Amino acid sequence: MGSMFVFLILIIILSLLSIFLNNIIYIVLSLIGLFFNLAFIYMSLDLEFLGIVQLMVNMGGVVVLILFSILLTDQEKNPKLLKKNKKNYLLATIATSFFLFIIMKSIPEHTLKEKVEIPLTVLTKYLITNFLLSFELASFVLLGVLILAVTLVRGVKS
Amino acid sequence: MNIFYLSTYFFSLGIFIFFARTSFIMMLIALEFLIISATLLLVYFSLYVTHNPEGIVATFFIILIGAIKAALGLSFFIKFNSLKNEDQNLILEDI
Repeated sequence: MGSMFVFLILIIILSLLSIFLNNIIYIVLSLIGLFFNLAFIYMSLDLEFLGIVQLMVNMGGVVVLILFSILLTDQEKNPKLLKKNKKNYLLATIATSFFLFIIMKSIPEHTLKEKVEIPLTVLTKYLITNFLLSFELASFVLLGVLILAVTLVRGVKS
Repeated sequence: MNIFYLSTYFFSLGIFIFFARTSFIMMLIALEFLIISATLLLVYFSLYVTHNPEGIVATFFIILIGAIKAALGLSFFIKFNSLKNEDQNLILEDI
């Protein structure tokens, strides 16, 4: 439980850095650290499978994709990218407070039970029985989208 | 309960970034935060409330859909940027 608090504090620090830093490369690097800590949170909840998926897909895939697209398009030199607007900040604070108020009012205290451990064998059994169709569909959609993305970026030769 | 609060924190952070920083890359990062919030909430309910592994399987699919969203969004971004380099007056609505 102690290590989980360390990860929680690191997550809060890194996420705040990702808002208030002014260099887009540093923001993406703080996101990498954040996803790394999030994977450890999953692992400390005995969900090693989700932790590894988080490491491979989100940290190794999504964030590196964001980093590459920033570097490919020279966005780190674009001053408009990190433009801050006081009016937007006010609107964002109001919206965030509103949503926080709604969520805090609806905390389901009465439904809480003890934590259970869900072993990996149960999860894999679910994936290859109840969710087999969804699993295959997701893999086809991912493949299709990757082909579409490459075609879009490279362009179709006529 | 920590996970629930962490999920709430990520949700509010995602909403804050979405409204405060209007650039495309920052909006994508805000969407990542909102997706993290949803996954944490599913894990929380799966482990502490319903005791059902379906929430964790759904989390796996959500992470996968997040990757699909990022790949497609960033390819649009790169394409738009290369078109903008050809035509400086281009705006997003033209595509």
